[in-house]
Amino acid sequence: MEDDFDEPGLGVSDVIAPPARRNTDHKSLARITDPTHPLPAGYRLPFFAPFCYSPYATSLLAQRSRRLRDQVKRADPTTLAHCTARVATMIHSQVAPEFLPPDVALVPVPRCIPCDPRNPISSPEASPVRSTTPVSAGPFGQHYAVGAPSRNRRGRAPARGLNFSTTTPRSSSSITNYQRPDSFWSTTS
Amino acid sequence: MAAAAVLYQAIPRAHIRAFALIRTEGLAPDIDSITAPTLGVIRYLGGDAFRSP
Repeated sequence: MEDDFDEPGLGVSDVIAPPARRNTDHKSLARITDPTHPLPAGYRLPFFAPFCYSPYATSLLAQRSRRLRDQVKRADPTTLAHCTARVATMIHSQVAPEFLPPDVALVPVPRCIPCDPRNPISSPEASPVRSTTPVSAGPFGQHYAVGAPSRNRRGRAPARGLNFSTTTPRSSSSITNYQRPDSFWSTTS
Repeated sequence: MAAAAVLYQAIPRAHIRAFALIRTEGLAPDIDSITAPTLGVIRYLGGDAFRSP
């Protein structure tokens, strides 16, 4: 019987190479441990958030806000539709005119999930942002907003925008206290 | 913040901002309204991200 490993270049070496020398200088360690690298020192990331919730308060409004939080996190389509309409109203009424210009591109951010700390971007959820390149983002101008992804029940990203991962977030199945969302909008301003 | 860093690395000239549909008001004793549009900044200090407000 012929041995396939007799082919030139396919032989199995019986000499074990020494381990590659690790680069452990301070700059390399900083790049590994600092998730903000290469942002400039003192960098400030502007943000806009139209809704809020209280995680601990016991008032009726706080309880409703937590229900809204749960429904947003589980990507409830009715709730997201209401929220989208509210945000659209805010944009038209110039609530944050400089924040959401017409040429902005929304880049969904992966949810916080456990991953290998030695390779923080190894998670499949991180691939959408990791794979973003100037070439693929070119048609959207130079304005980018990073934010939580609006996924449907199957974990799919919106059809518009860049081509992102469609992996279902792990934490979405852990929210079980689903309630109808209609009660939010009758009491909020 | 980490996502902004990755995006900044890929597109250094981009104007990056963060959008969150709903934010946590964990330090306030209660909230006055669920609909409360807010502009602010997020900074990375001492190994953690801080949002203001």
